[in-house]
Amino acid sequence: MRKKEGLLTQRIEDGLIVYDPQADEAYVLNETGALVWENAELSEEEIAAIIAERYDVGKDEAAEDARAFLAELVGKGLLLRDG
Amino acid sequence: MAKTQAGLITLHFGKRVAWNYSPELSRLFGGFISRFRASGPADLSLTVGLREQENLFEIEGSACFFREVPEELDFINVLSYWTRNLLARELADALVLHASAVRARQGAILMMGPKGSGKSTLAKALCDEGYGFLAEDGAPVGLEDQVVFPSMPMSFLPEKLAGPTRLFRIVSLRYVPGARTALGEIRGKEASLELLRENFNLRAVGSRGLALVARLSERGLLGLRFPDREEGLRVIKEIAELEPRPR
Repeated sequence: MRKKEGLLTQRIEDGLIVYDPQADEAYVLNETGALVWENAELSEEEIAAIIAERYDVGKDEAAEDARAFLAELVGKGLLLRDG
Repeated sequence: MAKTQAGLITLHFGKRVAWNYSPELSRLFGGFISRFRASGPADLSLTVGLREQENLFEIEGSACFFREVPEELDFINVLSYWTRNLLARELADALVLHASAVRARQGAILMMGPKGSGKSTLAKALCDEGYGFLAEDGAPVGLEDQVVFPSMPMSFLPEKLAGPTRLFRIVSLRYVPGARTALGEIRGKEASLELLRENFNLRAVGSRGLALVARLSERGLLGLRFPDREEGLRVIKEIAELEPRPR
């Protein structure tokens, strides 16, 4: 995965703002979302491992959450699939 | 377009806007216009003239219609609307929030919210009680210093117009007829969402605007749900008397 070019991000106390100036649309991610976003270039397995470690959840659950959220980011055009 | 003459200079988001208007507009609105005259060099100059009919006019080549024969407030409303749209999207030194604003003892109180949330109603009620008017529909907050600059009113004539004023509180308004009054703090993600939704120029201010959103959401907004004008006014006046937080 790679991030769409030109996006602006800003840390807030409990999450992350991702702003797409081209579309003039802003998204507010919670802490888990921010963690996924910041590691979006890694593989799904690697992201799941980071979530599982940080939030003390099972790998399967973490993998499912990561996959669903990555798909949502792709759907909004913020992440692009390689290749 | 008819030959124009120098007209009025108004303050909008801290910018001086020169409206050069036609003799016909001068005749129709001259007395009203002179009330909002401000001195100093203009940052932006716009030409306004009437076309053949008096309910059709033109700003810089774009035709606009009055729905009816213009009254004074219709005209000021249209000018304010145009100015807001022209300036807000380009303004790069302030985040323009969808808010009315008045000056209280402690600083500027912004009343933010979507159409119908009570912004104008409460701003008018506060101005009727002697608070200085700052903004009715778009309130610019300086990106670095958080100073709120004045703008023209749109639907009422305030007695007292305030100058630039440092931000004190942002209140997110919800007018809900029949509801119980509720006041609470909104912070973090929820506050960021409201600020991101209720602004006119995030694109123009970019990452500096996002940084301001983060600072404001960390400081927190106040969320006010109120059932009628009197209750809204009572609570905003209480907020106006609050002591500032220690820094």
